[in-house]
Amino acid sequence: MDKNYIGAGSSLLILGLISQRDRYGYEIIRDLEILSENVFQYKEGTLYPILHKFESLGYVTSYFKRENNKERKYYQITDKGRKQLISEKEEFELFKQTVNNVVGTFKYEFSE
Amino acid sequence: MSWGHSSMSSVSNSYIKQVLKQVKFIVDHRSIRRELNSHIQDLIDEHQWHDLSEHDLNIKIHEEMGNPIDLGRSLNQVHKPILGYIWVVSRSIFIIVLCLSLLNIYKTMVNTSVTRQTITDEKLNVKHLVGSIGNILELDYSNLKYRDWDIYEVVDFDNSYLIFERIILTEDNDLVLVYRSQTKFNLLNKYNSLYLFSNLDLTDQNDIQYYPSYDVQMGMNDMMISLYHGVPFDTQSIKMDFKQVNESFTLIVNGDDYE
Repeated sequence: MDKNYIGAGSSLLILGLISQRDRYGYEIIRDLEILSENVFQYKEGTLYPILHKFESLGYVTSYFKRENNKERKYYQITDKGRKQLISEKEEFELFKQTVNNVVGTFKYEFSE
Repeated sequence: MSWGHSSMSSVSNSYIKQVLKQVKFIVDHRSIRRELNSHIQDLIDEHQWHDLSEHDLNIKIHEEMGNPIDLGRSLNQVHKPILGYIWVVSRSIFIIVLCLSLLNIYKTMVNTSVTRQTITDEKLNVKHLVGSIGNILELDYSNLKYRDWDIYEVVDFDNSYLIFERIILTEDNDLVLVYRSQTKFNLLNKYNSLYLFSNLDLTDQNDIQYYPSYDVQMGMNDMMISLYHGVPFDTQSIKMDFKQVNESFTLIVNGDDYE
């Protein structure tokens, strides 16, 4: 998929995953790959700046937790993050609807 | 060939070091290091890279994680030094103010308990107290009769209390007033606004006015002792007038209520 599409939807996807339950970076990358059937493949170098930016904006908080002899940094969504997620979902729905409307016109023209 | 744990750590550290070199806000280095180190360990475990050579492991990590310098630069844009240091300084100031406030509460509690115990609650020690006051004021009260008014009246000011503990009238017409100020709890630990105390005038029931001959501060509890000469031993009522720039009060105490 075009990287521009992936980049534009990053906030929605990552916040969406964290809103389901607290997750750590490695887990987010793997879950995105599995759930999107490898359509969304984030490099670690892309994910962490986004996560850290969310933290600085107050969308998420973080905490370290040791499990299976590994120390992991978990991210947890905040109320502000949930509001942002709702806003991004609405934007995405509007975008999707608008694209559908326009593409529908193409289809009509093609079928004519 | 297996390179073992030290080799993995070395490759991981080398990668993270290059990332951190780009991040100017060093306070966050430790957290970033812990997070990336955990991520690299997960990568190695999942892909079973434990047996790779140091060189191959290094290549694999770069392939998966991307260029460390690019990652470091991206993180540096988020971890702004100025905002970061403002946060660190603000947090430090908050902690200091909190500690000072807790200390203030502690001091206030200690002040209250110690003073009540030593002055007001122990009636049997009044003779000793009068003797001590006599010693402090270089007067011999040891053989005098005295009247003891256990008044404990609290006057409430904006940021402090003025607490009148005792009035003691001696046979040779001296009046001893025992009182103290106590600062109320406040976050900024503002100083007590009351200046103790050369302007606490007394008037008896016959409208005769008395001024303190001595003001002595006693102990560490802001305890003050003022001595007024010429107050008759059989005085029935005392009016206290206090005036300061922004503070004033009048308090009337009747001996019958306290003896």
